[in-house]
Amino acid sequence: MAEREPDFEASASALGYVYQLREALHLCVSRLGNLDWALAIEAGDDIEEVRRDGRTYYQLKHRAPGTKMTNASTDLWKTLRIWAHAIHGGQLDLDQTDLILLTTAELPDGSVGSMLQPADSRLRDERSALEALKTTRRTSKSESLAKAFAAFDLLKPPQLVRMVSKIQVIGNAPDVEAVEQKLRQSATTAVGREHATSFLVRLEGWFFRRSIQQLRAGSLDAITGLDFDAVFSDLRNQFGRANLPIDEDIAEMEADLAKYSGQPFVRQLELIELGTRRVNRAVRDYMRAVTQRSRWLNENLLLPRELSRYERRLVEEWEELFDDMVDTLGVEAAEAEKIAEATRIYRWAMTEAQRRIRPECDEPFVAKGSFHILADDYKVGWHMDFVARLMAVLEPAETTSV
Amino acid sequence: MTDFNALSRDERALYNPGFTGLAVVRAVQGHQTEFGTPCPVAIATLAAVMALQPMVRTALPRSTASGLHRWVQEHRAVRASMALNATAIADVVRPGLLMALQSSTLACDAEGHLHVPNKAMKKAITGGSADVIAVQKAALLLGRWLPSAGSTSTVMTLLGVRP
Repeated sequence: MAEREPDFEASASALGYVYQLREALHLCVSRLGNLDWALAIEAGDDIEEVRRDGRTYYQLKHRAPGTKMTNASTDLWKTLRIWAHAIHGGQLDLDQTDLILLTTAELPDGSVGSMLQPADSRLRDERSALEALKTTRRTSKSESLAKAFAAFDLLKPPQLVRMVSKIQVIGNAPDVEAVEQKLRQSATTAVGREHATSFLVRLEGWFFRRSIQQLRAGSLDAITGLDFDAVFSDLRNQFGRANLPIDEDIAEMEADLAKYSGQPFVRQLELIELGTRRVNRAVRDYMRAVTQRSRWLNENLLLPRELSRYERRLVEEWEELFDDMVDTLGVEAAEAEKIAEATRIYRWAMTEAQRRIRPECDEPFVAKGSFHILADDYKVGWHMDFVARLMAVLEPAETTSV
Repeated sequence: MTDFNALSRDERALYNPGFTGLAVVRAVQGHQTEFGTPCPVAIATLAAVMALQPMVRTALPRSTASGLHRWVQEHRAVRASMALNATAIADVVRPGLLMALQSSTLACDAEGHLHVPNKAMKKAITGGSADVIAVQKAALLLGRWLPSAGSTSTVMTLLGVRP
């Protein structure tokens, strides 16, 4: 493959997208505890937040370190252009809306950006800011700003005054990495240092999927405070000592029967003549449990030996029932009886024996899939003659063809 | 000591002695290249235990130039992860260490220090998956880097673990 020239323009805009998502997630996290809001990406603006008392439009600008936002900066005027158009077209009601320009760039002293910082900066001076904008409008010959100037000219003087009074510029904003750090701090507060990374990976994953869904539907499907609070709390509870996270991508896995048809756990089910639909479900649970368990282990969410202790509990419970069945039936039992009894044990394993790996982890596929993993290793089985029959089936051809 | 047969299938796959032993060997190799001396058992074991934790792996610096003290200060999650996992993981690293000694991939001198005999292990790190390679690289780095903070007991204290 040929060496690619780095495309700074493309990587900068890709960073911008990541920044937009992360900043939106950070906004959601900072609203936790309050359920009364909704947030949409790329609906009214980069981010639009709706609350009971009004709405806020956010324009985000992720710039390289050392960038300054001057009075003739494209970032400033492109933002004004978007807002001015929306005001002129009646889509933006200034009585109801706050406008925030959030940039990682610095705001030079005396610049428009600096004069439009929030009131607690003590630098806010709306009148001078508007004068400076008008001056730039008059004196600048920039081609690239022409469209922005035209939009600015659409507004009547009182509208300009109202718009400027609603704008807040926040400079030196945390960049994409600093926002991640902030998210990590929130994650640490929520689930402790040791699980913060795993927690954040899952929260960002959910937010990413949810954002795509919202982007497709527009603001109709905004992420609500209620939504976010529920997901955040659920996820946090999964990281307690008594719980484990169940990952959505795994919980949605579907069976791939062809891939597993020759495996011992499937043969175990064939011995008891289980219907195809139930075999399919078994394969699905097996796949989910294998994937989820190895992910827990790889991320150190499960301690070494915790899983073996869990398996020992399952095997010991199964043993009790299985031995009872063998004793009751005796060697002379008819095949139909053997299958009927074995089916009973299988039913017990799939429905009653819902032993939890941790007290609050109540996802059924964990226990069911773990039984199938054990069946795959012949540590448990359903049919009373499973060892003899399956071992015979699995013997390599050359040993039996003599 | 863990009875290997009692481990679940997933645990056997991740913590099999061949693999945990390899992590120890890589740590000893790292120590040898950096200091030219055999490696204390505690350091080799500690490096392998750390390398087997993804939380610690991702926090590692790219070079050994940075100070261990500062790194531990900056990455508090490392100590938290060690407090939670070190004992359990050390239990699965020990059989690996024994296996490496039995197969002469590691040798032990009279002082109880470890070294990799000549030609016992290739220098090039290979592996079937990204994780397998990452664990080995982390162990190698830690073998070079841990002793730079001082004596073995200082390093242990710094990470909040006991031999």
